[in-house]
Amino acid sequence: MSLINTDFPLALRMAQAIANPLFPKLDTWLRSGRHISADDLDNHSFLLEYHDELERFYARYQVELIKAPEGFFYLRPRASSEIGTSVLSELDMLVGKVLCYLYLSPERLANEGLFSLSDLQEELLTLADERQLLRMVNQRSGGSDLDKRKLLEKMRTSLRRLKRLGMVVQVGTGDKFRVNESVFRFGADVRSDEDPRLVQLRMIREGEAILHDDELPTSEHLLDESEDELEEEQLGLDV
Amino acid sequence: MTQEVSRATERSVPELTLPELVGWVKQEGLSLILGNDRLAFLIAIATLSRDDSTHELTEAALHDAFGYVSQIFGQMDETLSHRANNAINELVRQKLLSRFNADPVEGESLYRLTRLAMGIVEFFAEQKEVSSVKLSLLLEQVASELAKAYQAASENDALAHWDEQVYPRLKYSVEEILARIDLTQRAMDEHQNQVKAEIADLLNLDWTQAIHSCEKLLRETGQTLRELQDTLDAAGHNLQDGLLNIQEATQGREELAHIEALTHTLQARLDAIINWGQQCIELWARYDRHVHKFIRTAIDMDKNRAFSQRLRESIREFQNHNWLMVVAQEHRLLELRDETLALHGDEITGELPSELEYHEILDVNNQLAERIQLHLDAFREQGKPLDMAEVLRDYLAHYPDYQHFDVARLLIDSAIRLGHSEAELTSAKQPKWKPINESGAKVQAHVIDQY
Repeated sequence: MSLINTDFPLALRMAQAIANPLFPKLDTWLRSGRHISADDLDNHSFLLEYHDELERFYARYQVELIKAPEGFFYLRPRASSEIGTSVLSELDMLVGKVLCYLYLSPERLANEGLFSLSDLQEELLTLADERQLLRMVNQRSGGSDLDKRKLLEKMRTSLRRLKRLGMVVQVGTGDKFRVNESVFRFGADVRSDEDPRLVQLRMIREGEAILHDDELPTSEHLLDESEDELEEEQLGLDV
Repeated sequence: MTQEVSRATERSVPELTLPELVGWVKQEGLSLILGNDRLAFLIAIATLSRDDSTHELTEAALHDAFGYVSQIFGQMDETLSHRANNAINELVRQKLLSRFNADPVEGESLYRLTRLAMGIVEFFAEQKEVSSVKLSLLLEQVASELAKAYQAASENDALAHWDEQVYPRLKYSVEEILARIDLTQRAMDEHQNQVKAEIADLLNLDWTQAIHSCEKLLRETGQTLRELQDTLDAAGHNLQDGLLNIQEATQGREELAHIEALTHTLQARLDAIINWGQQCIELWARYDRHVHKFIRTAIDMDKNRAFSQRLRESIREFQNHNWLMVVAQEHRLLELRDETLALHGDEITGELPSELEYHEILDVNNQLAERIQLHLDAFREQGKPLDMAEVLRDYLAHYPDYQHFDVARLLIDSAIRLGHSEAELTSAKQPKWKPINESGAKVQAHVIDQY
């Protein structure tokens, strides 16, 4: 029997969803790991409207269309997925956590949710252990100025990545940006007062995260970096 | 009177450019350094001199003032007079105190606070009350001054009278009151920032309980702003009218140009005040919206701030962090350029059917040349000039309509190369339009009779 089988007619609503002019771009975004928050009014309401249909649509690719408790949408691929996966780097994770903290911080209210790279840097250096940070740049870092500059550069790279993932939205032409609810994914392990270890295990089981093995950081880092650089080259993104 | 005028021109002349200004400050070595204790000293001097109706200060009074400051700052008693002299000299050097030698024999000096010092003290010491009542009072004052100025202007139109009655009112009353309104606005700006800081503090303490107070603060500030603006809007219109009246009275009188210029300045100033008020309201509304959104989202998501706390903890102990987020990342599509180009090759598209074949321009040109040849023969034999319209009509009949334009262009191009027209050179008369095809296309050309 041919695989091209017309016995499965497309459900009307699913056809409507796919026929919507928003769909092609949204689909491409979701597949490239983008998160759709309520700030993106059109796409978000479209996803709300056709959530069930699109969930079924993506299930055919072995991917889950997730609606987080905070209201944003994203695709969660599995090992068996037809859509590829990518893993965030250690620094991406840390930057993400800091952004989540900033999102909740009332001190930042006066800027009306507008942050700059230096806000991020300042908060990162206050909250995290600097040696720990520098270690991410250079395993044998002595804390030189060069290492610090490198750290800043890496932070920019991380921020750019989160921009592509739709968690951070650039405002204007400078280095100002807004953060949306999807950064809550970075705080998932401490979201409730459950034992973080248990939560992490569950997240790993669900395909939300993978275990970060300290024994093998270098190869993973290399992989990530080359991928990042490749991406930037291709997209011609600027700082 | 002439003094007034010269002062007016004097004020408008020294408009330095930015680099000039910066250069000037650098050249003069202007600087202000006021530490905490120095500022306290300055304010102490101001307070002491306020009690004295003459506003003059003796050296002893300054030492007294310094004594208070020194005591509160817990500084050593032994070096008091030495440090007091240092402090006084410092203030004099920084143009905050003026020194006058009252009695040169005994070396006694008198001191007065400078304009700069008064400004500084006023800023720090005076808690400006911002209220719509005060603003409306100021506005009333402006209105009455303007009315007086206008009345004076309409009473007598002698230049001397204007310079005595109208100009000073505008310059020294109206402008000053406007400046005061401007200051009130600036105080309001600061007030807004204070409220913002207060809201952040409240939320930091206990955010679920703070919501109520935050909303109250937001509402109150917004209301004050709106009341101020309403007052301004209502009065602003009248004031602009008053200024316009005076402006009209100056129309056509060159000797009153300085007054007209002043009314323009005042108008611009009033506009700026009203505009800033409007903008303030908009900015506040945006901040208001943002705080409400923050209350809806952030506070809702983290009721007792335990999440923030845990998050902070997890950032500090990031070495224990052992998971990385997984995101979708579809494999990128690569464009294989060589293959793409190959698709356009001849072997893939195959041969065209003859109907679709492209007419080579050369072929068309050759056919054209033949036709023109025919007509030229007629010229040689009968001396008949070449009429483009005829050639075209004849020729276009063989082509479908949609090609007419292109073909006609080609034909005319080649005809131009052949020769020119006697008529074109000798007469300015336009040639007649002649129809060249069935669909009503026409051409206008002289006959070609020179080769």
